[in-house]
Amino acid sequence: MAVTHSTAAKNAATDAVTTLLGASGSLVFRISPSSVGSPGTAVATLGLNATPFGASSGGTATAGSITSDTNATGNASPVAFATLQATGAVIVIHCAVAASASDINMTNGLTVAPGDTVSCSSLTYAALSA
Amino acid sequence: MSSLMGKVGEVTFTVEIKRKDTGKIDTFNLIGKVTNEQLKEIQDGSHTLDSSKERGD
Repeated sequence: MAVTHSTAAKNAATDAVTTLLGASGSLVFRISPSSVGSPGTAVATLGLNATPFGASSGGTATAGSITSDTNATGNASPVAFATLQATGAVIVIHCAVAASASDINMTNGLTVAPGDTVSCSSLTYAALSA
Repeated sequence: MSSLMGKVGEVTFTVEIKRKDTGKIDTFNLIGKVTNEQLKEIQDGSHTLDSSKERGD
């Protein structure tokens, strides 16, 4: 039986997770292998806003402004994971990332070279998709 | 034993990378899932509950 949550339940779940990021969170792009317990090597670290996400609407929360990494560490390996973490590198969200369908034909993956500037203009999170 | 499993959440990103060497800006629309298996599902259109013994709908 498929499980479906009410919008109120989805909002509550999403807000509960984003609250854990606190006021000094960060978005980190990493290479493989990576896990919550053993995160992969970071290639770029972007700072989240003091209020990292707005209140969830329709189950989805949208991030506030994100500070670019203007001198990325970089790596020859492509970005495979991203973490959203609180102060002290406490990982709250760990996810495998890939280009969405519209970009699935991109070549060489998403690689970041040392010194590149990495920005994130849009970031959303939904704890439960249904 | 019965199991109830909701659809997992996701993270979406729009990332711009300005290349130090060339000044070129590359833009990527990314999607993140909790596990590689779940990520693969959205890339190939499959879903484990559509074919596994856990399907019950």
